[in-house]
Amino acid sequence: MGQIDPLISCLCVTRARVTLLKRAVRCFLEQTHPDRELLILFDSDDAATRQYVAALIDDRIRSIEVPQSPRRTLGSLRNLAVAEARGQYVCQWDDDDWYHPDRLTVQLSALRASGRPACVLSRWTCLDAESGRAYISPHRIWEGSLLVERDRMVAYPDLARGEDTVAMETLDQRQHLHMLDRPDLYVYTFHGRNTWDRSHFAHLMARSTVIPWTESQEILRRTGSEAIGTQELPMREHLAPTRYWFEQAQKRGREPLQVNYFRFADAPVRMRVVGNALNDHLKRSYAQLLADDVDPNGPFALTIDAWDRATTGLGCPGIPMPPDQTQLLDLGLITSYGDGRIIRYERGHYVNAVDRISREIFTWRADGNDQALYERAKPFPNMLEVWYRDQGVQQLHAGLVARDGKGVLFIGQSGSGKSTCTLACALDGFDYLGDDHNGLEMTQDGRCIGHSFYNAARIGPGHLEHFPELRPHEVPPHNEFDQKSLVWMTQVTGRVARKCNIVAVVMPRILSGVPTRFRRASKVQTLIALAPSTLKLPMGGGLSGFMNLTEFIPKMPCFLLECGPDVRQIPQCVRRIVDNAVGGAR
Amino acid sequence: MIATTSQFRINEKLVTSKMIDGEAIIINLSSGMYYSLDKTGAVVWLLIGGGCSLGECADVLSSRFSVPVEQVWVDLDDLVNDLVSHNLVLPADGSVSDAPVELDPPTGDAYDRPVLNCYDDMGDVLALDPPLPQVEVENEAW
Repeated sequence: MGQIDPLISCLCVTRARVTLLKRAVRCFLEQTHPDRELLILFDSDDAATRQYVAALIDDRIRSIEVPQSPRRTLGSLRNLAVAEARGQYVCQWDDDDWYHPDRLTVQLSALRASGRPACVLSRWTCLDAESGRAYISPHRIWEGSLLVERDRMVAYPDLARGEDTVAMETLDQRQHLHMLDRPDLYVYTFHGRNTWDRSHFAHLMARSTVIPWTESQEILRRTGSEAIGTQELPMREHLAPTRYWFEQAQKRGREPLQVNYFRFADAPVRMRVVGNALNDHLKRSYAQLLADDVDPNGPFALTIDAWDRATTGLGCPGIPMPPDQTQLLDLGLITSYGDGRIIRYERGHYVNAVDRISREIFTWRADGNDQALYERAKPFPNMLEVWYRDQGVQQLHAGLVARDGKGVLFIGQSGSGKSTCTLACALDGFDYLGDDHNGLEMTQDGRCIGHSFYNAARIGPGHLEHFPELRPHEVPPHNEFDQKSLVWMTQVTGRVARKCNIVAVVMPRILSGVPTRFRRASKVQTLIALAPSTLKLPMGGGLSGFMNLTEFIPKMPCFLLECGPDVRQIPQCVRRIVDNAVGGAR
Repeated sequence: MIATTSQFRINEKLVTSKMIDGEAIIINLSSGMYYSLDKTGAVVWLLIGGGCSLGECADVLSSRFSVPVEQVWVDLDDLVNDLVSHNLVLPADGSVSDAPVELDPPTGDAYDRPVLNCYDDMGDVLALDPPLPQVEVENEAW
């Protein structure tokens, strides 16, 4: 015989944010658990909420107006809500989060099956409504998701925030909590007016798993969160002069605005450029990522706005605020603002800046016709690396090729043979993704996806000797800062790929007098070969980047590839490595 | 020479570690130095983490690799001195883990003298986490 559905009281403490409250009420009304009530507590000086709840005509919704004086803490208000609840169970129902229609049903079912009096989620979905990015949280007791027998609930402490954490610790100590791993049931939303500020949320995001852009957008849409972010206007103002000058460049430029669309790590990207020469350069830098399936109306995971002084007569303004970090980098200065939300790099003749929340990169050049090869190969590398990391894609210092979608990563310090191996394979029928910087995305289903970042391969005299077919494509250095030539790989080979499934990691070594051969390598030694050169990049990811690599390398078969003087043997060996890796022996 | 009854514990406030394919990678979060231990050393790391005394460690290594305990003991003494000097382990002072130690079955590998390999090329990277310092917030409220 089935159990009777008990009454569940959903307890919502709110204050002067009716837009958010409306969504919480809508989530309550859509719940599949039949017997439920919603208690809305608000302060007596909150006229907007009073007006809204007065118009709600539903017997299941009750409102409680709390005298504004003396002002009660959030903990005190929650206790009042529990005292007023009529249900056998009470459920925390924060006014600014989104709940799946089955939340009550599923949590109640799990609680009953466990025999414990309370159920909390061990993971939930986090949504940054400002940037449009979503994450799966790390495992912990997510106190806001509590469903508990009313009689077993403990009192909240008299605190303005963090009150539910203390209550949850007590329930945990009493072994009352059942942990349920259903992150889809609850979307914790950062909207700019949370109890905790962005830096607090940033710590959480840094430890969470990024949900790919398309799915994030679907969550944003499904939860009705598109319009609830405040856009943190004061921080957005940091780049307002830059934005304004780009608008002026469009109006005053001698050449028309040009718009290109790409997919970076599958996410839609729009690039708007004033200046034909600059446009040609920038477009070529990412030519392998050009996409004709991007909706020109957006939304875009990234917008890149570029102009040069030569065709517009306009420079690039600074940011008239004190930075929170400055760092010398090469011959320029890198600065960050707003806990790293905005990062800007200036080096005399060019400026790059990224706003990680609004998902904008601005790039300015003195003259789009006069750029060193390093600028043309990687026009705004640090900004892009940060943006990729925000998408859950870590930049690796490695070469990457693929055969039938199966990727091989070549790692090691500069001079170890990464580029030689990458080019040898690319010229022998492999798909080319990149010769020194590529992206790594680890998916929730355990796949390791390699993403192509750049179209350019940097080549030295040795490469031209080994690979004479590159000569017709060589763009030689013409600037004191360039030691190497450049080739655009989309011009060299028709086999370029945007992404692949990485199946093996290879450490090349250039040796003389030996045939090219491979053998298994220690995974720890492979990690030690990959980590320093990857993480010592200016935005290299630090400790979290290292820990990411310690998750990646154990999944990979790792090989040492001793490369003899005949580079034509390299692709043959790499084919065998792919076969060996895919064969499954690790 | 360290006494066989001596016990050490992993300096968990400063150290994080991971086992990969029977080898250990260890990071000192304070200095940014990182370390690796090969298969023999990694067994010692696991045993110390499980609260075993050095005498117990020596017995396990001797039995696992079929080498005289006297030989193991000399190597173990050197290794533990290295671990202590790099602040990776501390004298237990009575507070040791009682977590069960789960070792992989012996693979038949030959005994190699356990050596702590030290790497200092990422000190500034691993000691900090630029550009956004990321701190452990497990016990913070949300």
